[in-house]
Amino acid sequence: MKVNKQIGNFVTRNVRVALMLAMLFPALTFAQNGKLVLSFENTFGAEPLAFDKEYTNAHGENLRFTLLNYFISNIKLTRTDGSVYAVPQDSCYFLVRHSVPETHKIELTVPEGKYSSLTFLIGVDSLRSTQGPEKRQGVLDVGAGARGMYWQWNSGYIFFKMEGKSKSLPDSTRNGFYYHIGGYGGFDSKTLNCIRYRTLTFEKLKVSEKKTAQVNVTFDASKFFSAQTPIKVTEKRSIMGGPVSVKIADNYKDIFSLSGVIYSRMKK
Amino acid sequence: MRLKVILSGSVLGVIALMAFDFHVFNRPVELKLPSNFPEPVYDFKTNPLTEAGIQLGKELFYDGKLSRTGVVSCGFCHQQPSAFTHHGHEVSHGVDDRLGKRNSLPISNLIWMKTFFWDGGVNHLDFVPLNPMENPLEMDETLENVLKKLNESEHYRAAFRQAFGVDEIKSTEFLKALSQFTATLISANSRYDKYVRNEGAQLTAQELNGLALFKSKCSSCHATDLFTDGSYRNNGITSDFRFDKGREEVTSDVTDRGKFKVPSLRNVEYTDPYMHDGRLTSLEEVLNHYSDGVKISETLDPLLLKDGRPGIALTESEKADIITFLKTLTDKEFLADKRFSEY
Repeated sequence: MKVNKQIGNFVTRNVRVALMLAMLFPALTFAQNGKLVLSFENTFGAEPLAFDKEYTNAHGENLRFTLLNYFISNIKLTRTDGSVYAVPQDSCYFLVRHSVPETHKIELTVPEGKYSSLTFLIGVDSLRSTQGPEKRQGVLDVGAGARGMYWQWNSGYIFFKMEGKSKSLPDSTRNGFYYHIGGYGGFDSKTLNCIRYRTLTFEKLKVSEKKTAQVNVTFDASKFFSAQTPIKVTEKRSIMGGPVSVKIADNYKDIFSLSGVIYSRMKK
Repeated sequence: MRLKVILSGSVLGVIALMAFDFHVFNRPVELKLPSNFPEPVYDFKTNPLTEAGIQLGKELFYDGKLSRTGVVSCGFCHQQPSAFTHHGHEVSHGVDDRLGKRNSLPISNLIWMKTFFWDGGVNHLDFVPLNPMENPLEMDETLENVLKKLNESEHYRAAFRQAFGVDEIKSTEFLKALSQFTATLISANSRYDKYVRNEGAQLTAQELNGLALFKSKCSSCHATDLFTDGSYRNNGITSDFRFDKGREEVTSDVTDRGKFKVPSLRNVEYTDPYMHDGRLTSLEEVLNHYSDGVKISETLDPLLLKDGRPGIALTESEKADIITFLKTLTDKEFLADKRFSEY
């Protein structure tokens, strides 16, 4: 009798567990993931940007680029129903280095579904900028992945870095121009805030298990000099911090634009 | 039977040897926090102190490998007998005799600080070493290259394995090791501390008078038993900010021009020269500055400009009493503690 009761208890307990599992499982089994690639293409006007080419900006100034790097982080996708998928925080930091082609493509695993917009931060958020080194792995590692993209005297990442040479500049300046933009807004008091989010909207982006979706994002470097705050290298060849950098952040934010979505079948 | 015992004994022995991972024998360390201090800011959960970690941090602190030339260690500008500052040097002295633009700060009680350096540019203790290491006027090295040098050293690889259980030395372990050592640099055993904690020390009548004067005239900035409120202020040491804009260089805010972090006054008897540019060499000069030398500029701290008159009203005997009190902040145990010494 006692044994029977125990068995009975065992059964009821397990039925309860099974029911709970059954309630949870649909969510687990039917939420499939698909692959989404964000492809960043740096251009100058209509041409792909090349470090060995010379260009002319809207002010008639000669330009040749030697460096173009920017952080992309805090990626969020908004579904057509308005709900949002955010890439998990610890894996949402990327650094696009123009000189390293593999970094131009960001591969994400995203729940299947229809999406209407993509939002990302050009830079690194303030929380991460104040956390310890255990939270600064990969491209955020100040002794490895983030090299050249960190101000050690000001504890902050350089969000965006563009450097080059211009024959329009006198030889005495070694013809160099340098734009280093960063500033996460401050820790114990307000500092420069160059945190800028960019949202790109699609007609429709479909993420599914069967096909890889690639969103092409173009960064047209020619627009950097002729955006809302025009920049002439002959007037401002070096911007590293300082109040004008927030205007530069506004400039480059709007330059990131959607150039298309392409789908390819997953290779078996 | 006996054979069985011997066999199983040796098997156990082998297992024990295999388990002789140094990491296991690395004992945790709990810091004794002074009862007259507030709660620390540093989050030890992200970096639990261990004997091996502290020892490793100390070794790194005194190793010239952290500089490009192999000569300039952290301890080069932060010397224990001067409360871990560079006695006799107005501004930091780096590789190839290069000179920085600011006076190296004494090191103590770092785990209670929210920000670091004269301009507060660094917001986390773990990232403090990066600043002098990569500054061309100081150690002129890169963290990347230091890690390379350390990974080439059999000795350091073993030490990091023992302290952190890692085979490759990366930024995280390197920075945390240094914090383990600097976190232990606590100065809280001065005569003043033993007086406020009722541990048997007495202050003289003059020292007590100095303490009362200090509380009424100095402690709004040099607050709490840390002797700083951690704020940035223009103390009127100069009105010429062409070469150093202070906090403004971090915030790009003109209202921060010429503001510097209020430094702690612990061991102040031994931390000369004083001020961000090391321009004052004695405590008498410091007190004279506050009574008669404050220079007016747009960002001068309002506390130093009462009724249009710059400075703090202090008589000669009051200044002498305050200095007598300041010397009670000298912590002889800290200045000579073998656990912190290079040799």
